[in-house]
Amino acid sequence: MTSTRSRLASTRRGAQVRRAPDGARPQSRLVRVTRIVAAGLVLLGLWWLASRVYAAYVLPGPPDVWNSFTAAVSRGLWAQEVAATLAHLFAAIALIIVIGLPVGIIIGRFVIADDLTRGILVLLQTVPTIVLIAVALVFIGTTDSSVIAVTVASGLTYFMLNIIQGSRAIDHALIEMAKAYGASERTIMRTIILPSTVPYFLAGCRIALGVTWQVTLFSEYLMGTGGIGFQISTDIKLLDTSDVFMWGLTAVLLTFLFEYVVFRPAERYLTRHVKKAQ
Amino acid sequence: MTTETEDRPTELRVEHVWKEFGNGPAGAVLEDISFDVRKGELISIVGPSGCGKSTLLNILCDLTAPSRGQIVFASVRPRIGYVFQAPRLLPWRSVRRNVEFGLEQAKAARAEIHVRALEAVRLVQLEEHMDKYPHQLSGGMQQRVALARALILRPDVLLMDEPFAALDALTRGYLLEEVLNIVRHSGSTTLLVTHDIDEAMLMSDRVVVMSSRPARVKEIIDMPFTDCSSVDMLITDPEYPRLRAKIRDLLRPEVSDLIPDARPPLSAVDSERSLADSCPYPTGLTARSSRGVPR
Repeated sequence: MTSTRSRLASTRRGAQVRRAPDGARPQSRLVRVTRIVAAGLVLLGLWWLASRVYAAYVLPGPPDVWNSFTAAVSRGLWAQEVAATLAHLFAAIALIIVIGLPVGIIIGRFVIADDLTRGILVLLQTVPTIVLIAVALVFIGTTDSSVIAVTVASGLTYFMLNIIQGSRAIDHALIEMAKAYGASERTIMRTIILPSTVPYFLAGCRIALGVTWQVTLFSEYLMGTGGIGFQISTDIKLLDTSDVFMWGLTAVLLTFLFEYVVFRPAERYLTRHVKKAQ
Repeated sequence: MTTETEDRPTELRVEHVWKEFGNGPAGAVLEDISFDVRKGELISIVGPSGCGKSTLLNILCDLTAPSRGQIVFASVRPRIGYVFQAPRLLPWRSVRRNVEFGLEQAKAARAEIHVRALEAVRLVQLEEHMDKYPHQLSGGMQQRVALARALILRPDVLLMDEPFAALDALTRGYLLEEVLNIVRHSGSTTLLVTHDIDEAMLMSDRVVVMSSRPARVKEIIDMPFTDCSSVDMLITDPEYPRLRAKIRDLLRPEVSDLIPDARPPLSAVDSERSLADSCPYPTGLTARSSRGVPR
C-alpha cells in the first residue's frame, strides 16, 4: 500500500503511470525455477534434520534412502520391479483406451447404448477398489492379470465419462458440412468425430493415469504379484522403512517423468491448433 | 426475358419441390418450387428469414430429401460446393488442409489435391496464410477459406447460404466484390441465398423472390447488372431504383416484421412518439415503447 502511494507521489507532476501489481508482473523462468529448487532443498534439509531425531526404522534420512536405492539398483531389483509395475500400468492404460474410446463414443452417440450401460458404469464407479481386489482374487487369483483387471475396472469409468462427454460435444454443423461434401460415415468418424474428442481424450487420460497409479500399487501390495507395491508390502513387514521410502520416491519420480516426458509433449502436439491462453 | 445466359444449356432444374417437416400444414416449408438454372448462371434467392431458402439448398446438395418433386441435374454426378453462413472450418486443420477437405471426399490423388489446394487458396488470396489454423484468421479470412474449400472442387454448382451475413459491413463489402469476381470467372453455376436485396441484385443474372413460409416462388426477375463489379457501381445504374423497388414491393407483404425496409416510414414513427411524449401519464411510456417501434 505504501509503495503504491509513493509511486503515485513520484509521478504526480508527469503523466499518470499505471503499473501492474507485483503478483501480475511476468517473472523470468530462471527466477521461478530457482525458487522451486530452493524450496525443494529446504524440504530435503528439514527431512534430514528430522531423521537425526528419530530412529532409522521410524524415519530414515536421505542418505539411508539413497543407500537403499543404490543397493536395489546394483542387485537389479530396482529395474525389475519398476518394469513390473510399468508393465501392469501400461497394459491397464492400453486396455482402458482400447475399450473406453470406442465404447465411450458409441454410448455418447446412441441413447440406447447409454441406457444399457448406465448401470454397469455406475457400479464400476461406486464399488470400492478393495471389493474389486477381493473379487479379482476369487475369480482370477494372484496373477498379473488380476492387478491389470482391477486397475482397468477402476480407471475405465473415469476415462469413458470424458469420452462420452466429448462425443456429445461434437459440432453438428461440421458433420453437416462434411455430408454436403459427400463424406462417408467413416470419413466423418476419422476427420471430425475423433479429432473433436481429443481434448476430452487427454482429460480422460490424465484422470485415468492418476487413478491407475494408485490402484496398481494398491493391488500389487495386496496381491503380492511383484512390482513396486509388492516390494513395499514386503519391506514394511521387515520394518525396512528406508526401502519403503525409496520405493515411494521411485513412484513419485516415475509419475513426474510420465507427466513431463510423455504426457505434456503429447498434449502440446495434439492441441497445437488450439488458441494458447495468454 | 432476354439475357445473354438464356441460350446456354440447362445446368439443373428444380421440379415441383415440396418439403414438409413432420405432419400437417404447420410443417410445410417449401411449396411447389420450380425453376430452371442455366449453366454458368448466377441466381440469387431472396426471401424473408426462415422461409426455407436454406432448406432448398440442402435439398440441392442432397443433405435433405424433398417430400415431393425432384431436382434434375444435367451432369450425372454434379460437383457441388457449399459455402455456409458460418465458415464451418475444422479447427484442428490448417488452412491448406481445410481447403483440401473439399477435394478429399472426391477421391482425388494426393498430389492433385495438393496442387489444386494451392490454386484455390491463391484464388481467395490466402497463400501467405496456408499453414495457419482457423483461430488465427479473421472472420472474413475464414469465410474465404470456406470459399476455397468449395472452389477446389471446380464445382458445377456453387451453393452459398448467406455467406456474408456474419461479417462486419466493411469486410462484407470487399468480400462481396471479390467473390463476385471469382464466381464470374470460375464459370460455376451459382445459387446464392440472401436476404440482402443489393447483394442479390449485384450477385445475379436472375433473382428468385420467395414468399414467407411455406415458401413459394413469387417471381423471377432478370438482372441487367452483369457489368457491375461493386455495390457502388450497382446503385448508379439507371435500372437500379426501379428493380430494387420491384423486389422490395414483392417482399414487403412477406416480411412486414423482418427487414427494415418493411417498417412504416420514419415520419409515422416520429408522430407516434411525439404523441406518446405529450401524454402526461406514466403509462404513456410503456405505450411508447410497445407501439413506437413496430415489431
